[in-house]
Amino acid sequence: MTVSHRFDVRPAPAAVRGAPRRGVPPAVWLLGPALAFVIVLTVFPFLYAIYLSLNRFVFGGTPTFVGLGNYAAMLRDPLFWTGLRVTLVLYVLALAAQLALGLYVGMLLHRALRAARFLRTILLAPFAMPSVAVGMMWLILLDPSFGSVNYLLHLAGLPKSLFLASPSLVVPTLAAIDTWQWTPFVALIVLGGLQSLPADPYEAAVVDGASPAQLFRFITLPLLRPSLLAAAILRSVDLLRFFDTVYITTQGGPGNASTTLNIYAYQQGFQFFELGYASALMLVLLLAVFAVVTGLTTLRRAIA
Amino acid sequence: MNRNRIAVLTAAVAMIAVTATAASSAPAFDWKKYSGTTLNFLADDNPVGQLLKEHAPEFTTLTGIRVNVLLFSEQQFRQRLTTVLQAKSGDVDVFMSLVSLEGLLYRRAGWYEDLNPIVHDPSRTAPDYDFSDLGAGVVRSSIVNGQLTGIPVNIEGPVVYYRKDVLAKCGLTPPKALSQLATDAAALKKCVPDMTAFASRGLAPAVPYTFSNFMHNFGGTYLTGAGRMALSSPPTLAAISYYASLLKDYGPPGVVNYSFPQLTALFGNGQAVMSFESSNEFGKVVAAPGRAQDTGVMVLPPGPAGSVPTVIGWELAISAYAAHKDAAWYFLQWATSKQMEVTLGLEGLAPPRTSPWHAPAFVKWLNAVPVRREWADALAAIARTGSGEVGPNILLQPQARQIIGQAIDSVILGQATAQNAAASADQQIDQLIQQGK
Repeated sequence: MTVSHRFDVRPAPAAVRGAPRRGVPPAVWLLGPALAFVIVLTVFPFLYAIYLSLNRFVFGGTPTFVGLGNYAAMLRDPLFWTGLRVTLVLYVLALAAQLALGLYVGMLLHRALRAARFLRTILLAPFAMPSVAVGMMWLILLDPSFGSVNYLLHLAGLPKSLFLASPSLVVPTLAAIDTWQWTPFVALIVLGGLQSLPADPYEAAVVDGASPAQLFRFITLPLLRPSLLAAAILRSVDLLRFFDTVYITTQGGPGNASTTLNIYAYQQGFQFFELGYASALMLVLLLAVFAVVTGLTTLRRAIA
Repeated sequence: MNRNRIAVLTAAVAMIAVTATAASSAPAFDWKKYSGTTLNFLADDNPVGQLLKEHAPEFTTLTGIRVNVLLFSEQQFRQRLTTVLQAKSGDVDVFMSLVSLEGLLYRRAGWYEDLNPIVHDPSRTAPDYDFSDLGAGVVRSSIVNGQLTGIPVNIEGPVVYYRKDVLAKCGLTPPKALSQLATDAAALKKCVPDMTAFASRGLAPAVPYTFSNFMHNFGGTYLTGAGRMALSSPPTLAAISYYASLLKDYGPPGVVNYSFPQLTALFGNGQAVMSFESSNEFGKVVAAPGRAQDTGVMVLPPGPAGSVPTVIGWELAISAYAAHKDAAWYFLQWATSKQMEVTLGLEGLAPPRTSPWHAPAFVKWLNAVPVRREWADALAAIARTGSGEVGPNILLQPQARQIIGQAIDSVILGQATAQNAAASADQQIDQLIQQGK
């Protein structure tokens, strides 16, 4: 005969149940510092930026209230629209390249499991480098006169290029530099996704006579969509705020061909001392990032 | 009564004698007066800042004042400085300033401590400081709206670095007139097609430094008498056309991204025949292998209006909100003293004073290598005849410089004619002038 142990579940004694709360709940003490930190370092600067954006404020002077004047000026400002266009073109080019290449590299890593650990360490190198170092390195490599890239092109019999100095090539070149740096990041996310894929659908499909291409298109890709979208969201936040590489290499040039919104806001604020207008620009950029990330997150939830 | 009068007279004579002796034995200038204080010095990470940081311990030995040198790259340096001064904070006592760029803005904000009353005050300034040793033109560049904003610590200006050996090989001599630059460059392009004939700045915010020299040699100016932009005026327009065409036809590929780092690398590597860049780069240029022997240095050849080189200089300024203004003045005196300027001169920093150029140690250093002598002569000409007008002297100058640079870039890239680019830039900067009022 088995004896079943019954865990007596009895209601708590009346004395404890009815006792009044003593002091502040521990939750407040535990969350308090973190909350204060967030408020001071995030909410307050954000509110101050909104306040600044409603004023005309030049360094060395005092703020004068202009209401929505900065925003109206922004809509009339051709450099704002240029900045928006450059930011979006750079974003789309870089994101597409990184997702495609990242997917490819991730799949390669998934196959070559033995070499994967060693390859993974090498691949981590580009995005562990500070953006400033990456920018300076590529500025020298891509110099039309004394850079190695043009030298190698010359040896291969290919025409030399102006790269970062060409108004038409500068944006694709910057996208390529960012792709070089961040593809490994996407590849690692994809690799993680691949390693957690179930084997059943594959076995079933192979039994049904599916080709590798069909396996990829109808099984791998749909199952990897959440990982790819996660990578897309993470990269989007960075790409829309693209600054470091542009600042080190071209400072927005030639002309305004590579002036992203972030670069333009920085110029306005710290080189031309127009803090009010710069704040307005940054808030618009924040809005754009928020909109894109919300869109992508909603998409991810829809397909998950 | 007679005895009383003698007594009074003796007392009077005694008093006069005592006061006379007292005056002649006044306390000597005490370098250790503020010993134990700590100063905060915000510096730009260029040769000026780097050398001052290196020698700061000597100041501490002399005065017992500790100096905290905060060295930042140029953009970060400006950001930090404007933030501290905007907050009226006493965190910074001494800072480096480029009056030609930000003088008007900082003066209007009241951020400089006026040094006029201090410099000539014998109780606060060492007797051997000799302020008059600083050239009149150099001092004038530090005076903004009647206030002496700081003491110049170096002078610099754009100079032409050229390869004597390549010019000789192509049967040319260094150009003696501005118009000859183009003809020589054309000949060089045929003679040594693998080298860049003429290189100079194309990066938009950096262009005005070199362009202004062309403009002044053509007799042009940025502003009309009425205070409006004059890029479309004939001489300035001619300068824009000439500068842009030189770089477009004979300049290095990708010149619109070029500033002093790339120009120094290009010339140092032996890939350029002529490079028009700052005299501050002299040390780095002649350190490249072979350059010390085959390089010559000269000011930009004279144009229709003669030779008016561009001259700028960093100055050391005291913050109006500094916590230790008197100790800060001691630092300024030491850093801009005759002895210190000779020491810094030996390391390639051109002194704004006149006497260091004749100091035996410095003369010996200059005469050791011919190109050093040429560099010194070029700087002497720059100091003597130079103009401090790098960009239009308006409140919002940094933005104006960017617009001028972009206008010139658009001509170099073939995106606009010189007339259209100048007219558009004039309009934009006129708006800036209105905004700054």
